[in-house]
Amino acid sequence: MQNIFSLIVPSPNTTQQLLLKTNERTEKYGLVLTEAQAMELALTFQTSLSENRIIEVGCKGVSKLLEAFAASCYVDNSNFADIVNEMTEAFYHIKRQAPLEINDNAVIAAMVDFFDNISHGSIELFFGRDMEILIRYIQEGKHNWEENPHYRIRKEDYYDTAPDYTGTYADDF
Amino acid sequence: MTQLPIIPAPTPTISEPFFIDPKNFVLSLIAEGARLGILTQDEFDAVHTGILNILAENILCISKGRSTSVKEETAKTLFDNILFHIEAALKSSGTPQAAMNRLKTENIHQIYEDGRGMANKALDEACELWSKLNKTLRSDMDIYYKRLIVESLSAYLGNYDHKFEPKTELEIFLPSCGIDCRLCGIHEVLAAMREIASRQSFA
Repeated sequence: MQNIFSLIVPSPNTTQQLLLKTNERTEKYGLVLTEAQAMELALTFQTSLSENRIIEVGCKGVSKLLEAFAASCYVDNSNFADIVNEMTEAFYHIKRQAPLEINDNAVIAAMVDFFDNISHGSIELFFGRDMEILIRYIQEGKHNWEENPHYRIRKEDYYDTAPDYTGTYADDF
Repeated sequence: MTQLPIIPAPTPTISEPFFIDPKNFVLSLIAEGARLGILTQDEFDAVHTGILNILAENILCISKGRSTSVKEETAKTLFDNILFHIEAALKSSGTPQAAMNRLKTENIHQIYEDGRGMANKALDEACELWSKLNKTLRSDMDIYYKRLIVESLSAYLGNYDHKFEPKTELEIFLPSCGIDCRLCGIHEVLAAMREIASRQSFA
């Protein structure tokens, strides 16, 4: 059964070509993937799907991640590929724990918001501290800022809703 | 010296016996078609790709276009539902040979749509039959198992989702069996309702 599903996912070569096309939309930020970086991302994408037992039609999720993180103020050409690789792993990890009807765009927007405003561009903080809070927000339906603007994260809200991390955050803020 | 006659290799024909797994009708039919050479590689690939395309459409549909990915278990449910509709359409052909012939000659997407149409029609028919049957059964509701039939069929038909959960099961008392039976999907339920209707005097 798993083999049948894996046929929906494009091959790494096809994924690489599709991801390289995203360069047209990210180069306005001065960010482009090289062929090698696109292939590495294609392989990360496939591994993430497999590890999290997710089936994806095409590879739009990663393309959207590329575009969204290209706009982050913490991303430049030196770390673009690495960050998107890490965020691809995070995205499918989050999707695994999210409700069925979750909106990809809203999840990605929330990831960027956390990365920029809570983790302050630190992959280590995002993975080690903030991602689990984001997952909780998503499970509680508080991640869709457009539909629920009052849930938009402010530092003090986050501080209140993350008692487990109070000590860490007391220093950060 | 007598020359041995040259016996040509048997050409696989559609009349050869199939080994069909009743629990896995569609996939075993496809596998048999490939094994016996009844389906050419192109036809096999077309069926395979067609089913995956239907699955891809269903994934987009179930997320209302908001996501291109689902959990594997959701994909498996969608896949089973697709096979349920294809199986219903193929079985309506009458014989495994006729079903195989449909696989060879018709677009799998069309077969799937036929199956969905059949489920929709069966649901309409079941609801219509139910409106008649309901009155008869309710006239004698003090009989315990009649009450069970009324309650379970009401709930089943009211909640049946032929699009995403066509395989929903119903456990119901069937007078012919004398025990509770587990029915899978609207086609089996409709057949059971017809039987109940034909035995209205079973009490």
